[in-house]
Amino acid sequence: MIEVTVFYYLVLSVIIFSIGAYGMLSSKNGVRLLMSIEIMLNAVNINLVAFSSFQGNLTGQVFAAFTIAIAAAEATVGLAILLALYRSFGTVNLRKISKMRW
Amino acid sequence: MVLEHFYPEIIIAFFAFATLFIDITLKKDHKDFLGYFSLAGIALALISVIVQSISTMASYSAGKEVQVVFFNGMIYNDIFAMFFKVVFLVVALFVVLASVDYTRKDNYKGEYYSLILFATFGMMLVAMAGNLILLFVSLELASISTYALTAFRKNKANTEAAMKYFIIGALSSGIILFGMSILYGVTGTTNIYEIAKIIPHVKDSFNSALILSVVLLIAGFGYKIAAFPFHMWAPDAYQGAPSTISAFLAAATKKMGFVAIIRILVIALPLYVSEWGVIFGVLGVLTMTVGNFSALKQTNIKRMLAYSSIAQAGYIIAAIAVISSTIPNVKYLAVAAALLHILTHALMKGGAFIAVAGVSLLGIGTEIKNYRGLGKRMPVTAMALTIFLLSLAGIPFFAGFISKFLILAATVEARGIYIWLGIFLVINSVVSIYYYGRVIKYMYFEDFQGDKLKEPKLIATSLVVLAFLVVLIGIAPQKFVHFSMYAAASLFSHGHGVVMLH
Repeated sequence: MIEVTVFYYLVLSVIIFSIGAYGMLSSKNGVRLLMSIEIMLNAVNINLVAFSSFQGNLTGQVFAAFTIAIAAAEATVGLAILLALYRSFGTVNLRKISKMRW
Repeated sequence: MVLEHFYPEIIIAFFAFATLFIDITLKKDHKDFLGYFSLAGIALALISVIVQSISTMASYSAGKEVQVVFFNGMIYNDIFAMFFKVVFLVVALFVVLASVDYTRKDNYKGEYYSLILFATFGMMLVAMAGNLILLFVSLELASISTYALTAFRKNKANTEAAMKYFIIGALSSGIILFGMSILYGVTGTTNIYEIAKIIPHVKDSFNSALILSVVLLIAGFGYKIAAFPFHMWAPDAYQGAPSTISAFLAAATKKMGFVAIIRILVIALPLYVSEWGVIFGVLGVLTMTVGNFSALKQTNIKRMLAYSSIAQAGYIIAAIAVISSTIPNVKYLAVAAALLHILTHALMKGGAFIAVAGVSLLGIGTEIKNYRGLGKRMPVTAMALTIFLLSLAGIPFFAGFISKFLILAATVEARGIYIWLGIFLVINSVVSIYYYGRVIKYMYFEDFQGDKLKEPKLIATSLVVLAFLVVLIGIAPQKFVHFSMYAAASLFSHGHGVVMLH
């Protein structure tokens, strides 16, 4: 029987964070990009909750609750911008949207 | 009473909600009233912050204890915070004043002004935050409001700029949050001042985790302040956004990143000062060099101003790097210089973007070659823009010279390797004169046949006042330097009312 220490949670959260970051940098589709942002923020939530139990106080869980709310607000505004983008460009493929140089 | 310390925040929050509600009751032709209404709110808040900071400074010099810590260490309302609140409110004031002219033909004015007020409210809370949770939540309040503002007109340029700004902003939020979570995991608290007390006692095995957290925090906030490897979003976002919002982004939102990173690094992580000092020194030199040399070849004035804003951020970052000097009292000078440059840069860059807003309102494009003969066509705007550009270049008798001189003085005082920061600053200032001067040359020394145009009144008013402030700081800087010195001293007094003066 292996004892599950905080280290395992950290590894999990780093892996998920990296998946999210990779998704942000590589995805062409705007919706998929929003999903990658959510994955990154949720990786941090795992981190916060694991640390909360490791430290033995509830601050981390409070922080995680705030993060979830903020992630929702951010996704809302992101989707609204994406919708406006789709209406003016006719596509959500971010590679095709480059009126200005990157 | 606790609440009397928070009149500015209460006023701004009240006016932000009130603007939304009054918007419902107004007819479409009367929506300009909302602009004047939020202007009144910002002016009230600004007056009360200035009164507050003058009385706090007076009681500091009289040796009286002032209450700084509120709500169990959630909020630190010291002079450092008040300094930034003044910067944010001044920028918001002039942006709103210019916006009344700039958005006259637009819809959704209620949302526009209340989002500006909410963003200002968020930035004021970031300046005061003594807790990572509050800091992050208010950082997001300000950021999310500005994402929406960038896409205000929903045309191609706006939405593209907003999308790029949003992507980078969300990425940086994630990175900042990861850094904060490690900081919490190692210390078990989210109070910045408690973290500072616990860190000397943590086990050595946590050392690498803390350094990782420093790096993540610098990277995350580096996106917000558009430091060198993380700067690519800034030119696109500033170019595509409505010009008044570009002024707000460059002059206010960017400064929010500075206040957060200074507070976290200086207060919570002073043990790692040599590590982050080196990172900031390298980033500062690279940021100012890349910003200036990229600005040289720009043909669009908003893009050029964006790159110049990156370069100016480099000067501020270099000043922050000087905090790591071991010579006593140099860190006060370094922080004071950084703060003064934050203030002067907010005035100059805000003014320059508002001038661009005024010009583009009259149908003149944002390419630099369109500015030909502007000195004759729009004399007030051209004169104000000239003052801002000369000040940005660091010509004596303008505000930018004073703050750059203070940064240079700090690097020289710190001796040793820090002098190289000063040398790079001087070289970069010389380079920057070329691209600022080019705009002035187009405005005054190139022939152009065109009628004199009727300048928008409110934009011209805000430009004149901003130009006056820039010249005032350049000629009589004592009061402003004094204010920034007090702010720097209160940052290092760790929440106690004691201020050392020299």
